[in-house]
Amino acid sequence: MVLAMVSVLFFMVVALSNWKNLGIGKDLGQGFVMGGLQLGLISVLLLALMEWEREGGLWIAGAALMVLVMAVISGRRSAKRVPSLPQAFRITSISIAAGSVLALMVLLLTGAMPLRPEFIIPLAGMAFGNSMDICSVSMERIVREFQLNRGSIEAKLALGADSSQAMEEAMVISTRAALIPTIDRMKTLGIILIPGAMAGLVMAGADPLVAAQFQLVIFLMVVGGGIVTSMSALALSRRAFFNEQHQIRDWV
Amino acid sequence: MSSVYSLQNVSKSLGGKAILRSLTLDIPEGRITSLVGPSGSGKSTLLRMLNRLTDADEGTILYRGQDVREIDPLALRREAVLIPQDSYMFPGTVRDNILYTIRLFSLPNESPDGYLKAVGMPISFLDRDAGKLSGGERKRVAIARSLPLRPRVLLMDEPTVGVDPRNVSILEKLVQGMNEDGGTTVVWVTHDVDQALRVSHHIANLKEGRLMGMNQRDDFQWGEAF
Repeated sequence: MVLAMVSVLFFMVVALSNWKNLGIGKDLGQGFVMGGLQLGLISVLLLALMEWEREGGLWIAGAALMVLVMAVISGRRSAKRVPSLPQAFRITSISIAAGSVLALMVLLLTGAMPLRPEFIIPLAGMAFGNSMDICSVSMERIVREFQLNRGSIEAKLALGADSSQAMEEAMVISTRAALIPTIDRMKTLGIILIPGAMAGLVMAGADPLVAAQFQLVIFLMVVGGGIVTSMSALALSRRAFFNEQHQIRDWV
Repeated sequence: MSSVYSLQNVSKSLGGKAILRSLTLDIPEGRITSLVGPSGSGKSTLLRMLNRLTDADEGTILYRGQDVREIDPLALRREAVLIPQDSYMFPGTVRDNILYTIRLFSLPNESPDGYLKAVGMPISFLDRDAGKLSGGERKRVAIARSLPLRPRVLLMDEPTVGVDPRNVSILEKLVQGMNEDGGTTVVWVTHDVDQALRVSHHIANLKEGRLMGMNQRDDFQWGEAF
């Protein structure tokens, strides 16, 4: 019934797209179908994990496998944004995994996240999804910084700076570019935006104050994981930009 | 006279194109040597090899008798400082630019004032936005930025391109002063043969990546020029 009602919105977008020749109807249709199937799949898998947990099985292995798949897919998606960067997949997958897993471990160890599949999988999805976006922006920006400011970076090398020192300013710019949109969103929480987690909890009958606290925890998870992801990716990318003699590589 | 650099059969290609071809050249210590030649003759590439911003494909470059590949590139660059043609200014003020080098190497008790004065600029320039300087002023700040390193060699890539005549004269006299008073070896890339004759003790003439001749200034023949 809910899905049928939401489909009204879908057909409205398709109709408007056709009317104004926007050309997004087909992509929307594909996205709707793919997204729907993927959400269905994750729901089935989550149900299976929850059942496995109830039966006292080693559900954690299944959860770990799902998290591994998230790491690979998010790494590949992020790497596609910087096709010119050598070893992009290695850089993005390691850094996204590092930031996301670290953030999730903090939640687990502080007791903010119970060790239950219905918490771990959705929160892991949020952590990996946001880290993927932050990683993509960081990588795109650092490549652009090298393309636009190669001369300045080389001027620092020419003074005897090593490759880390020479790219430090570009790394700061790239990390800020990746994180500032998320931090700005935090500033509008509750005024413009009630994010999905809090909205879902409230609609499910949770105390709004508890839901709000949980939402803040999630945002901090995203920012904390995001900054680790960004800084890891930029640090790992140094070898892609420079060789062992602290020379900028030819591909840049 | 000893050589600060000795190049033996040095070749380099970029993008499949030969830039330097079996170049053999000695650069004397404590003197100003100009590399002259038309665009594409390999002058800038050669300069970049002297402090290992890039390496030769073939051949050997000796710095004070030691193969540059055996020298830590960072240590080499701190002794043989390259002033790039475009003199990129770092964000901030002139003071920030000179302090960059001082802070990079944690040099104690160093103030940018003296270095700015050494390049003939008033202290009032310290708080100017480095991005808004004229071409000649940028070149001088780029040199001032290298002075905290006490470079033994200055590698200058077309230092007066785009600079007004007054500042050209100031820059030439500045570098000559560093050579005469401080013994700094200078390798000066220029396409201006008249400038090379004014500034240098030795002139090396490059064309299409090959050395056409290396002469003392007084022996330079216009016929050898491009």
